[in-house]
Amino acid sequence: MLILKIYLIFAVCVLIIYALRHFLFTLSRLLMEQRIYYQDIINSELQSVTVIIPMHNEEKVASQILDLLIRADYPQDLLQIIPINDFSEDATSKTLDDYAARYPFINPLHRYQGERGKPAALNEALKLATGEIIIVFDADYLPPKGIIKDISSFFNDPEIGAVMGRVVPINTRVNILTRLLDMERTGGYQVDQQARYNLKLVPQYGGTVGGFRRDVIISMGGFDTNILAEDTELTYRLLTHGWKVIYSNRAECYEEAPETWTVRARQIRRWSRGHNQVMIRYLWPMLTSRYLSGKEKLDGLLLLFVYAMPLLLLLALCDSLALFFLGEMNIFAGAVAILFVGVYNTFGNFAPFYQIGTGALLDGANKRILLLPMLLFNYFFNTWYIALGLLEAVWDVITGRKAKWQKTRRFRKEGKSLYQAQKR
Amino acid sequence: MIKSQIFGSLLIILVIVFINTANAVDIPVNNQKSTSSSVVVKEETRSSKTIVIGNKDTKRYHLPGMPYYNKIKKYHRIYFDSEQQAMDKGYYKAVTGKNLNGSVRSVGAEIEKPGKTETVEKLLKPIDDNIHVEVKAPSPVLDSAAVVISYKIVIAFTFFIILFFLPFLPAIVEIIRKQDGDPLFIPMDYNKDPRYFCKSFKQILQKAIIGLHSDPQISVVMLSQKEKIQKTESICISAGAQVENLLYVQGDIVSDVNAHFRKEVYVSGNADIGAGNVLRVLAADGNMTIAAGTTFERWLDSQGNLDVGSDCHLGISASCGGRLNLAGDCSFRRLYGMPVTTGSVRDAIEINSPTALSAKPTIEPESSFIRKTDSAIAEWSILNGHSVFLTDVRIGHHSVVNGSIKCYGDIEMEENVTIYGNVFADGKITIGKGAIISGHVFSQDTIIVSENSVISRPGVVKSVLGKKSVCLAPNVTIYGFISTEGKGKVI
Repeated sequence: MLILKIYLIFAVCVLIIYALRHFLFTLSRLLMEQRIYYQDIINSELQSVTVIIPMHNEEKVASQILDLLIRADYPQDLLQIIPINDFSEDATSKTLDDYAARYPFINPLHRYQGERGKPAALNEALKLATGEIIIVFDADYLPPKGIIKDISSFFNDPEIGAVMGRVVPINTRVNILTRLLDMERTGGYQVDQQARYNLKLVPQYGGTVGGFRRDVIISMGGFDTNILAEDTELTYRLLTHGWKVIYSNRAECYEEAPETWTVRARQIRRWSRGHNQVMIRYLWPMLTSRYLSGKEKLDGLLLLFVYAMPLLLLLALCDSLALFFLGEMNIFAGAVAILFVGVYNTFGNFAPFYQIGTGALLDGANKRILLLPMLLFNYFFNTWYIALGLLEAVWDVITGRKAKWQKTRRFRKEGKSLYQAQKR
Repeated sequence: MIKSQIFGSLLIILVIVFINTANAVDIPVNNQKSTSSSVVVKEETRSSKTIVIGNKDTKRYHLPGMPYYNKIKKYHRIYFDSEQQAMDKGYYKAVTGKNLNGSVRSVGAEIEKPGKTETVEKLLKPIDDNIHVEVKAPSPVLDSAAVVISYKIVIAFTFFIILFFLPFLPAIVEIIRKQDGDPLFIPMDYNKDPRYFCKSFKQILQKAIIGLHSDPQISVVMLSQKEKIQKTESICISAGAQVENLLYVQGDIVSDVNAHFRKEVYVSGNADIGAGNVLRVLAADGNMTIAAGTTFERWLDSQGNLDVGSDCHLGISASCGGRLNLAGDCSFRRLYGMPVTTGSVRDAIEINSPTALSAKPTIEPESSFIRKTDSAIAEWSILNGHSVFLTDVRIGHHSVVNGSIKCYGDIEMEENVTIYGNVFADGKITIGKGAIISGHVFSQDTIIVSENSVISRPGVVKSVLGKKSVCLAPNVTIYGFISTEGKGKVI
């Protein structure tokens, strides 16, 4: 009984900490000073860039991203594009060869041997890359003309190891799921990441719409193929080695959000599993790193545990129900009880919604704020699958099991113009 | 967001109401009685002699062997050493009335009278023909209280359900109507161009004037909205004139003092603007000369050279394809020129001496830096490699840095410092007299560029970005782009 009560108090305390964090980020975005970006730098001495695009059965989307990158505002003599045909069984290979024949700066990498998965593919592409800066896009992304210049300009700062841009779903009109995912992205990037940049905390490299220094990653041994979330792993590896990770809110790129709950479940479960693998591996190195300040360590710690929180919350809910039916909810009484209940219900459950609402306001998308209550369903959906991901990560560590990479299914119809989605 | 806050607060109130009403019917939420304002009521301490257990809620006491003796909930229990003690405290025996003439009766349990016990069945018989002791029926007062409490719970629960689902109604409406269902707009064709305003404006204008007569006249064209455009050959604007229409000049324009141009002005030749003029936009394909005290509300751009007199306000952007020279007390937000110079009108500085800037030195490895806690670099020092300073730093005069510098605080450079690299700071950057910097200068605070300093070199575009302000002293030369979100000034 005592253990149940202690756990409940612990869970509420942790929820309060995260709630305060969300509030701080929201206030930072709304009221505090916003730091300017390096992408405002205009520079005629550009660095060489390699754009890497992992592709596994991406015949539907391959040509769209390549067309956009070809017309990028970047000197072609400083640009190299490496689309990776990673064990594809469709027409991806043929498409890439067609482009390579027409454009000398497109150098496809065809992989039909060796380890599968994005991290392994990236490692092999790094060996072929000639650019000082590596920028990675997923195959379904639609990069605007100026994004390569925007992202690469950050690396004029000698301390920056990686840069992350903003991801914007393009298929928002498909169904309620895509709309809710768009809102989650808004809260996560427009408020959360940006606030972490403002407050000089720990923005996260997200593995796409972002870049990193080639020689730094190679010197660190490349990507770890045992970890599903290679992007999070890269973030913490850079941080613990003294590099900084930066977020750029204006380096925006369209992506395709999952359109079915099944695909979304798989995606978030994979993210959770990978993230928690990183949490287990980097918890101690991060806490003991001499390169991170106190507040960076605190934020890094909270970021590491963000995918462990849903399981903690689920257990706390079960705990509170158990205590209720055992008649042991007399933990506190009087005014303190009101605070307890208030904190648990208001802050713990609604804090992330403040970020999402604020993000929508800042984007000028006011009407979508009406959808905020619907995020309650996402919340419980995510809680379940994130909890499963955490359990899988723990099991991976215990058994030494190697995670198998799973690609997110694409929904775009072949040949569909991206501009049809832009009506504003 | 506000609705969520209100909903959350109402939810809290509901929960509290629910807790309190539930408490009154002995639902195990907490130990508090509705009439009590005290803190947690704990179990009374049992003495070793206690055999009687009372129920604080019902005010009944139970003896060992009675059916509910061990079933009373812990937080309702109160222990007594004896029956008498229980009765003295106002308790009465379970399922009986109050003590009558010293005898008590209970159903289904043994009764303990002082010195005597009787079975249940005997109790049903009257002790005395004249005395009938009956088991009391449940109190009507208790019945009505239970009904009231149940009624309250139903009301509270209904209220809760309504409030819970209320926020979903606007959400459902938005799902159906999709008023805001489009993806966020990203300008797919955007590319960084410091002369973007001019190029965009010219493009729109050229399309709009196709087919217009070349004679001087006023026509209506469609730009972002319908505009009256006056097309003319070279023109002189008199002092104090008010020009109401968009002006398209095929030739040169000369404007006397205090003229006011309310719309955009495009000049295919040279523009000579007199003192005290007010313009919205001025774009010229030739050279541009702006006299003192002129104000630009939006921007100006010249394909050739641009010379700006003292105390001019240059709007959002001033750019040119050649040299941009600013006299003292000019204010700006963004500047672009190759180069941008300050002070009296003069030719751009050409640096030819062997010690001058050339291509940046090779730093091996390029992606590396040294973290330093020093607060000063001594004069005449040579620093190799990229450096990151964790505190404010002062760079001594005549020092040479072969690499970039980043500082978490302020950077102060003394005279004649040379930096072959970029300069980044979270704090203020003060560039001393005669400094030569080959790269960008970037501050989240203020940048002050002192006299005779040079940033970048001919043909190479670099940037000076100060979030709060950029101050340029006389005789400064910057090849490229200058920008601030605050105030830019030539001092």
